[in-house]
Amino acid sequence: MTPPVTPRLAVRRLAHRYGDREVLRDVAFDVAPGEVVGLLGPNGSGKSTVLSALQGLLRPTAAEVMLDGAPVAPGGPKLRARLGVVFQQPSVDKTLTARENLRLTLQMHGVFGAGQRARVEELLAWAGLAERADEPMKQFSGGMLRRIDLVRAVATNPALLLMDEPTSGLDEASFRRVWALVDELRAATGTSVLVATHRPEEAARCDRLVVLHEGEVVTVRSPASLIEEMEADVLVLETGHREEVRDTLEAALGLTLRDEPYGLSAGCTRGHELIVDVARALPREKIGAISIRRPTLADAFVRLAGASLDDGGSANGAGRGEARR
Amino acid sequence: MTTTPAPHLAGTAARPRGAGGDPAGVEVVAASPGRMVGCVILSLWRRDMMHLLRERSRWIGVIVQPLIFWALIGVGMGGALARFGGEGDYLAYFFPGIVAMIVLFTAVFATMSVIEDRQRGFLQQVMVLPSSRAAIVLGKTAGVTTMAVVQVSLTMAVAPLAGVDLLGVHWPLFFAVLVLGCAGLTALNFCLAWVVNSTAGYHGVMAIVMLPLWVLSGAMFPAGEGWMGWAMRLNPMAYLVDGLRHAMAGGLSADANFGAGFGLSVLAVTAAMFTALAVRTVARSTQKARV
Repeated sequence: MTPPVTPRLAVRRLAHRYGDREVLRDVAFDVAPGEVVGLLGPNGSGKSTVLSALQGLLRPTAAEVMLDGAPVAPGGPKLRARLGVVFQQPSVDKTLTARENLRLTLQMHGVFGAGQRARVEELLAWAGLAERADEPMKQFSGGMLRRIDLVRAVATNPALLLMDEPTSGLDEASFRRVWALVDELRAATGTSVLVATHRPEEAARCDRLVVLHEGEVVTVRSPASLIEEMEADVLVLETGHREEVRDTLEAALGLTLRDEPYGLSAGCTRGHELIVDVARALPREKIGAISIRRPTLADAFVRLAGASLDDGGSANGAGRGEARR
Repeated sequence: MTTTPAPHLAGTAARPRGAGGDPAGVEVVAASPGRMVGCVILSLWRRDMMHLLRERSRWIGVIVQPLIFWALIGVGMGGALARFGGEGDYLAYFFPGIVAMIVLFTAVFATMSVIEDRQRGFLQQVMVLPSSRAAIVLGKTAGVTTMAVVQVSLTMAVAPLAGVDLLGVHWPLFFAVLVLGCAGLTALNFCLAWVVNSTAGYHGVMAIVMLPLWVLSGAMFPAGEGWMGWAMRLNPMAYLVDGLRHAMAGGLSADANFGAGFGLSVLAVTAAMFTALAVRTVARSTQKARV
């Protein structure tokens, strides 16, 4: 029998209150060595509060934290000494060059001289920005800033990398580049990664997801298992007549629909059959388009939490577990 | 885009002295928190020096503006005093006050960056280091004080126009007053920037706190009797202006309100107090956010 692996990070009974408002309740999860764990939830679900507690920027009301099996103070120096942090906003000095920013980071950690210079060159090459190393970072694109910010965070090889919405605002190409660096990092070094996100495509990159809603852990699962539990299809209706369409389909077909930016959607098992029924049930002028797609982690979140990842509020007409047909 | 493989396994040359590694070969940060304090102070100081060398507009704001004030107010007030039967050279009297204004402006402008750096910039990465956050205060104070020393030293090139004999200046006293006064002002402004935490709010505080303190420092007129005299005695900036006045007069100035030794002691005590207050403010703000 294989002995259980000691988690790189174990968090238990993490709780926090802002005045009377309870923002985290009994949060618990592990991050194994080399594992990428995502904190998935909408804005206000408590993701950033979890990270702030681990970084020492916020003292939680209660928490037990273990690093490689040894208890450590939440956000204390022992934990912080093993962390690399990528914040929501790049924490670089944009008036300085990429090379200068990396040098300052290494200086702060006590790395000087030839070792510092060699490391800076390695990091610049790894980020693919060696040729622009001496340009002020205010001339960099959002994706380039993020890449430098990421290599800055891992400049001294932390055991655990914390990332707070690291690809927020980035286009698809920049998103892929940032995650290529993260994948390379953990493959080469075994660095554990804890990433807070509300992007389904980012959550899909994780080994496991801690699904957070209103400060509570809803479930801890792999992205694949969350998708597997979903219905086979998602029916997508583009319409400008939401209420009318919702009422009609609920009465005619028993469908529970939820609001989407483009119209309405509903999980279903046999989409290709349902799409015909829906088309028959609705007047043509009430529908912009009807389509069927595969479910995503955003759909899985709605099913689990009854809320959308986009807005942090409850999805209209879909309570916990109610979005299924 | 061409990227090279993750360099962490090859980066032995960059391994921090004393670094360990786990069985997977991952290098870890090993600089002790105590040693890191010095490294952070040095890094923040270096960063301020980089900004000093690059931001030309800063020099105009910090040095040229006070010199314009000196020329305009000095000539204007000198004329007004002569009309009412006053004697003496007001430009010469006003010059130490202008040097104090340069110190004040340096401290104000340089600590303003703390607000943005803390919210979404460079200071975020410093805040999560395992070292004491006192290093942030000390690093910033060291950087701003060096800036002030450089800027004031350059400004002293025009001091002969105010009747100051550069060979007769008591330079050790001058720099002692300058360093202690600037350290105190920087630490005080750091506290205000940290607490106010908004650039607009910080501008407001500067207008209603720091500028009146400068006016009440003896920069423009001597300490009078009554409440104004007491206000000057309680104003740390008054001891900065007074100390500069003594130093520019070769060690003892008849225009000064307090003794040079006493003033230097007050500056040292206030610098220590404000630095301690700033360190406490940084620590307490973290605690406050934690509750």
